[in-house]
Amino acid sequence: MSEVQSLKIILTSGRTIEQGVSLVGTKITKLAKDATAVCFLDPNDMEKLHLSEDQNIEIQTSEGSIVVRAKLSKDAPHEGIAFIPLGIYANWVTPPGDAGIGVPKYKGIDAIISPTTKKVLEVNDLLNILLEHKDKN
Amino acid sequence: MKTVTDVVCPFCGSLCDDIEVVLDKNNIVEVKNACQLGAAKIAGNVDSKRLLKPMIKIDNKFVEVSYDEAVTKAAEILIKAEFPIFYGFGSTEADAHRESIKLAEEVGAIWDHCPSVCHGPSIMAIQEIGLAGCTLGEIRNRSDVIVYLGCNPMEAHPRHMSRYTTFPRGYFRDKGFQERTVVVIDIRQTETAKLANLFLQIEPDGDFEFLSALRAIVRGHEIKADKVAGIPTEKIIELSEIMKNAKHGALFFGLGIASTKGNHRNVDAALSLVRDLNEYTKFYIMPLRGHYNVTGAQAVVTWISGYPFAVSLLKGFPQYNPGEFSLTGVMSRGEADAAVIVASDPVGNSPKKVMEHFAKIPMITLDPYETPTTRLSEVVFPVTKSGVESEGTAYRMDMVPIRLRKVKSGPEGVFTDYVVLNKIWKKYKELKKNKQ
Repeated sequence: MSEVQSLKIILTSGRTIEQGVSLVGTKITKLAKDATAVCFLDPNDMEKLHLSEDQNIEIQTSEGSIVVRAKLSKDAPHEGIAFIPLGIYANWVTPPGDAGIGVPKYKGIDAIISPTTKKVLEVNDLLNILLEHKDKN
Repeated sequence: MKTVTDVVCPFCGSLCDDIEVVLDKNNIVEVKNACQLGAAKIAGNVDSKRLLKPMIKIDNKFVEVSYDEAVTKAAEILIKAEFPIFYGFGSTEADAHRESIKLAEEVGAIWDHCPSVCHGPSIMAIQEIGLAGCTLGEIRNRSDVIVYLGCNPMEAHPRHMSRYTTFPRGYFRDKGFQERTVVVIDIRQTETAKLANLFLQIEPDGDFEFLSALRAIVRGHEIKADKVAGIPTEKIIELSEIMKNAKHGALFFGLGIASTKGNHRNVDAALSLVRDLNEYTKFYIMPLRGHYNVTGAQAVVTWISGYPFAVSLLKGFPQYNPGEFSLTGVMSRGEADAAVIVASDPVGNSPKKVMEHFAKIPMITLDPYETPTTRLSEVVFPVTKSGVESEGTAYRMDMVPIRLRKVKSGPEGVFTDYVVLNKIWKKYKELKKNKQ
């Protein structure tokens, strides 16, 4: 299978046990980052991008981009679909939804993923970006 | 050492009520029977950051203050606000819900809660065509066919299958899982799907198409296509036969249909499917609810205002319109000018556009722990963990109210959500009177 630089995928978010545990008082700690700054990919998609487990990838959607670690999905095959646990990393690239009912689009998001050398930001870093945004306005 | 029995788990909507907590004085040393999620919630994670003192932000830095000072600051923010929003409530008890709505009505605010980022579309569909519902106890004792559609309880409600649907022996299901057929429909072969007798892998956003085809087959029509939404037609026929031949069936659904393309129309199709199936057998349907008391918040706001979520009290009377008054709508349009957040982390759980607006407006937050939301707040109140450190009422996902137990004392001097909200209400009334 030939190596490509980036891949169009459908991004979908949802619950995992690890993400659920990290909800309890540790949403700004390493536990939350380890549980939620990850993206589970089909082995064929990993191969197309020549990715190895825990390598950083950038996910780009209409809302912006976020860097997370690539993980080999245990729920494969689901080629073309990437799964990201619920949390601040997933929501950084989640659209607010366009169905007219005020519900975010957590599932079926058009996205592009690519390997990156950029680092995964801490939850704290993301919050500081939001606070800087406040100061600019 | 002492063991508190029959504790109700305050994590997910399953509200497992068989938990045992072993205490050494006021310290939890063991949580028995709970899943990983429940055990973490009851005992707390090792590196959890518990909030112990009220804080207000001065020059972008938090300063510890007394409850009275924090209450005054919160009331002042609400007095100035012209378009405040109240949000959260999924992880607190029903008296706190009631008190928050009383305050929101006094202030003139939007009152919204977790369905607006979760099962809101499901509620909208249920309002339109109704729901054939029953209790989880009935399913445990009677159901021989269980369908999980667009949900993964093994990761979100880890004891759902073992307590209510698949593995327990029931009054009419003496042989437990040997007498039950489990079907899972999902886009991935999840941990739940791996336990199914029949797994149908559906294409993303194919829910409405699939449900419509299944409804047509159940009603005796022929489908000419070989596949629908990626599922071979013969498999949909097989599922139709399983469902029609059930003695007592139950269909559970999650955001896998409510948050995909079509939203409430997908849920509408699922509710209609179950209505159709009741021409042949007994079949029931239930949304899998995430936070332990989101069903309770929905019940409380409905009996007070008449509406289940996204309620505006801005004009002094309730108005309901999810697209207009839900959290994501109000915040992504940049409308709210203050927020009161109770038992929730909308900064962590909302799209970035919503997070960005939260960062711009004064927020008053009640939470036992530090979260992304408390970090962005102007006023933070520590509170007890309801269902562990204080009692109250919660509603299970099947609408059954269950009394939460107090297992241990909370940190010294820390109040419940209800008490803090009541203090803010009193101070707000006082400031409003002085202003007039």
